[in-house]
Amino acid sequence: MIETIASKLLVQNVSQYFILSFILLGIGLFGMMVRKNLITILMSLELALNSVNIAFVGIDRLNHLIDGEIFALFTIALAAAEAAVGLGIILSLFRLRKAENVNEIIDLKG
Amino acid sequence: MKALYPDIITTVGIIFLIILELFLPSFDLIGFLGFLISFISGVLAIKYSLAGYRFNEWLLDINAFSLFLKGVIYILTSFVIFSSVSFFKSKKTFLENVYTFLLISLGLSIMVSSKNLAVILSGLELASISMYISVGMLRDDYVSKEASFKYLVLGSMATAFFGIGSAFYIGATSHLGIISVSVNHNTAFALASLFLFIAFALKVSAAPFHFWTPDAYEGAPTSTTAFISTVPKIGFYAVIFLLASYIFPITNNFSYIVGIVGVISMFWGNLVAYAQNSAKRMLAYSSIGHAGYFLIGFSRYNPLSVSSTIFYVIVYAFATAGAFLVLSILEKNQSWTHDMNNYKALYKKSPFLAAALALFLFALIGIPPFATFVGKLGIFLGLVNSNAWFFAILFVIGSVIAAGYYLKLIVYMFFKEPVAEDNMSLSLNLFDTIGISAFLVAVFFFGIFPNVLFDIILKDMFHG
Repeated sequence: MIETIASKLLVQNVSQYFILSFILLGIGLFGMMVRKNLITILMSLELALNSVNIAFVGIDRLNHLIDGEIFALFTIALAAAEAAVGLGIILSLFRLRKAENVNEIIDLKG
Repeated sequence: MKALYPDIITTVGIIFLIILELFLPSFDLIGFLGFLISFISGVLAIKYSLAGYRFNEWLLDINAFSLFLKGVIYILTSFVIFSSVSFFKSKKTFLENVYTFLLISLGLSIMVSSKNLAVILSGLELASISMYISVGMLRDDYVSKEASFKYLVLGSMATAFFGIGSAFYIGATSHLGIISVSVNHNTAFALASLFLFIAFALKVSAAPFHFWTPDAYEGAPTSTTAFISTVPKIGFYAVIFLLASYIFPITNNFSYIVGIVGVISMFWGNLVAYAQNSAKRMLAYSSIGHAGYFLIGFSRYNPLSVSSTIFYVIVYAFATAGAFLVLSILEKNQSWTHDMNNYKALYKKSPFLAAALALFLFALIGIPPFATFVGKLGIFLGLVNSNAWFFAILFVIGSVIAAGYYLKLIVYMFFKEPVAEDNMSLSLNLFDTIGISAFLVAVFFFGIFPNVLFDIILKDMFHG
């Protein structure tokens, strides 16, 4: 019983992993460009980084490998470190100027 | 096993400094120990490189060339720490600055010591995350935090691209090592090389991906700019060299993408630099222009152009770090804003600093006695040898365009009348003088005797 449900839930076609991964990467990059709130930008960043993990898992299922999943573990740890640093910077920005939107942090004109 | 000693010394040293800082929060002590740790690791790495040690186990592949690069990275780090301690003291920045520099150099050193994409990623991110932190290290300074956030967002985008590129790479080749692979006309492999190239183009601030560069370099404390604009480039271009030797040549015409990004970067950086009023931003755009030169150098896998690009990156690091360090010494004066008008008649206030900055700028133009000329000449000859006349001619035009804005700053320093009611005093302590002189000597020495550096590069580079 459980096995049949599990086999139905598993993705049958490996290419669906890549499609999902690309959609998430696209949403992440799009969100980084259009969203104004700093925390939302950080969330979009995490989404883009995590889409990489899905692609790796899909490839490992396709090729019966393990390297990709280990790479995915690396990416998870890096995403956590990046989120920690990003939140720290947002906190200090907010503390110095009460800024929480991108249109408020335009002192430097790249 | 001995090949690992430089990294082990640095790692232990960083942990020791973090603990020591709790008990003895003194900039002089931490700075001196940081300098010492980094210098010892650097000298050891160069010594082992000349002895030809290698370590090829686990996922690491440390050969003589990567030991040489480690040595250059650590020695340059120690020079920058040596000459930036007094700046950090005058700006009252956080004490962590010293060991974030060491962490960045450790990350770069891990990055150059492996051919596995996962290990490269971990080293790259150790360096990058430490860089985001060190950009925002100026206490109570809003601009520094803003620059740090912008750098973080675009830098992490590069990480995402690196990850997706590695996913394609493992999909096409079933392994993560950057070694000779045989795949023909494989779309997944072409996408992998594209994404990996985009990730590194973002990190080295090549033109369509350069938007973080001027902001991050302007907002960071100036000695940190001296560090992040130079030392990481050595590590990044070492990885781009790996990609250029194993991955780029496989896809047809991929070298044109690298070359065209280089050309865009060169012209964009060098032309927009003319419009800048701030000397610090001007040097930031100059580094975008230089990213263009280096990518053009890697656009063909020709032994001459590739080895002279690595040579050029190293001597460019010395010249740019020196120029930014002169700026940092000037900035210790409270009213200094890096506006061009501040530089009027600098030679009257401080002949040494004005002369040093002028010499560094001449070096960046690439005028013969300086080492950068040798690098430029080598890239040009290599491009001509591999019949890439299009890129060779554009390379020369781009370099000539670049001369103008460096000369503009020199004209401001030597030939403009000083602004009235200007009574700023420039203090210059012994450490600053020694640090700047060391960079000057390096730029001159490698210009007059380029074979000292070039022989090591040529000996080790193609036998990895």
